[in-house]
Amino acid sequence: MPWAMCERRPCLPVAALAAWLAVAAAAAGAAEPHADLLRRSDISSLAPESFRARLLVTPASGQPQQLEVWRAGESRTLVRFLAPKDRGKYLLRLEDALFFLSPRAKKAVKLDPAYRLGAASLDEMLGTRYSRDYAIESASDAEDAGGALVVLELKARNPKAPWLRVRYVVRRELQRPVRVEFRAASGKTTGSVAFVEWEEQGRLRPRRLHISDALRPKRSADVAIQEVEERSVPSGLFDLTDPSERRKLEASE
Amino acid sequence: MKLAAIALRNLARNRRRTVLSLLVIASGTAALLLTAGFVRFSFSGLEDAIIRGGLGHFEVVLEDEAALASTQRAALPRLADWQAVRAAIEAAPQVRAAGGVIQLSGVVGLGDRSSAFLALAVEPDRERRMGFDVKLREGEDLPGEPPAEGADRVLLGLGLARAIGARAGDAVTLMVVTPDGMLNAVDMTVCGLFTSGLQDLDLRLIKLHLASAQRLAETEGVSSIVVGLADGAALEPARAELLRRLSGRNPRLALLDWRSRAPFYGQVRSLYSGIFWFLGGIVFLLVCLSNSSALLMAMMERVREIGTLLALGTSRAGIGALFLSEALWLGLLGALAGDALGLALARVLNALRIEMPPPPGAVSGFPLQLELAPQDFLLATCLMLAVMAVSALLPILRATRLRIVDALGHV
Repeated sequence: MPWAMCERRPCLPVAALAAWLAVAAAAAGAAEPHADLLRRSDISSLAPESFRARLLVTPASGQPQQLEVWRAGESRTLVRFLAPKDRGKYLLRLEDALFFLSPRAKKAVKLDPAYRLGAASLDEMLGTRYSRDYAIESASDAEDAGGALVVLELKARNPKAPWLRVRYVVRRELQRPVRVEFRAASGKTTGSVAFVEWEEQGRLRPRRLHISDALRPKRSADVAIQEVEERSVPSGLFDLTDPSERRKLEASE
Repeated sequence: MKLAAIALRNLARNRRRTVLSLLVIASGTAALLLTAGFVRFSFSGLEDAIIRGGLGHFEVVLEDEAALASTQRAALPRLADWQAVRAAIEAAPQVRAAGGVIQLSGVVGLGDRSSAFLALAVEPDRERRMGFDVKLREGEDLPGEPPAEGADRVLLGLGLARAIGARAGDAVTLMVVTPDGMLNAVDMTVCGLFTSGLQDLDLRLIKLHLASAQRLAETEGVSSIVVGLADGAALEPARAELLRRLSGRNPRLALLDWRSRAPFYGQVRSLYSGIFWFLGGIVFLLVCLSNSSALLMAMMERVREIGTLLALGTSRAGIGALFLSEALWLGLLGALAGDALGLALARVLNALRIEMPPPPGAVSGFPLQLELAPQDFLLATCLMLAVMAVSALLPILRATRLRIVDALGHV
């Protein structure tokens, strides 16, 4: 009988609770569109479960590199180097670990997961699941020549995430990311990925990226995603010790 | 001549004081000689260690890389037509041998352990011809011939081997970033463990055959060519000859001598020279004060004699010359005795082969050897004559200013 109770004693606690619920609901309502925007624009979460893709990485200085990426689920990625002189060389990512496989070395060499292949790391090239691994700290509106933008300040949920803080800039109308800025704990921008061109047909995916290294400005790179084929990927490709499936792949060409 | 003979006889009049003065001078001379011997030994040992440790007498690099430190050149084995350059260098009569070198950095792994490395890739057969030594501590040296693919061998620095738990015979994987930014890894067999002589460097240094490094870095070029001169070949004429042979090449090449590539040597030389002159200054002062006092005492004891000489017509300059001659005799005899003493002590110390503790940052100590050169004896003798001349100034001034009447009545 809440109304009866109100008659007997001050109903301030109930009113305060109601006010708090109203504020919380409003805040949640405000945050929800940003979380939704992040989810909709997060191209990593929109990517096929397993696929094969071809990338052309053109560094600002140096030779372009043709790569083939095989991915099965989020935890297994194989990057194959297609240049004839690099035949048999792979980068293999299993969960958080990154390995380099060379035809002249029997054992895989473990690398830092943030290892930069020339100008770009795997995470920069292939993306990270921002909507899952990062929490929105704040959001603001901005504008550029292309129209309205939403700037999301993200913080890693997982301390093992490649970057502690990320500024994720989304084109409001198209719900596509415009650029991602990677930040150190101090707040200094260490690098960025700009989404230069998009594939307009089929599944949403970028066609061209520009990766910048803020600490070493000369080490920027353009990444052209030339082909993405959604397909099943043999799990033998990701076997760290048995190269037979990878050899089959080499022999098939 | 007569003055010199009189001065010598005057010294003989008070044998005990003269012997004491001679002992002081001889000890100072011997101390200076031993210090000079140690400094000379340190300089020549360091020079030898630097040249034979892998730096060679000269290094030929691309002119646009000459100003860079060798570590900055590590990722750029850009000297392409290096065999022709090496052949031109080796044709010079002063040159014993020349060999291509690549400096690389990367990661070496064994099992789950890995460590960063700095690699020096050389032509071992040419290094041996240049007289370079490898301080092996386990296993064997790199083979002279270029190893076949799959048979690559590597020497690990002691500290590095300890860090990854490697022994001779183990298979390790070396990984580098090639000049065009690509990764490459090659399995190699550890043929031995060595020391560079410097503890910190041993934590990172590896050595391998140039052919293995070229396979690893996927390059056919080298970072530089190291040149070793024949025994006794002077640096400057050899430089002129090599510059003549290297001129007109495209791209342009620069010739760096070992001193410009080892600033450490210059620093050590400055430090040791400073210590030597400081010690020399102290010896100079001690001998000077001690002998000045002895000469002054001798003069005070001979005041009446000086008065008599003046009364008999000896000039004041003659009195001064007599005292100066006595001081110079003392200096000469004491220095000669000191030379003999220094030589004998140096021989004894060299024969004892006293083990010195390792210098800061070095892995092992070294046997003390004193290297004395003829000019050291000459320099020490001249220095002692100068010391005695300075020491005699005060007694000479006192003696030449005496009044004859006062001097004759001096008790």
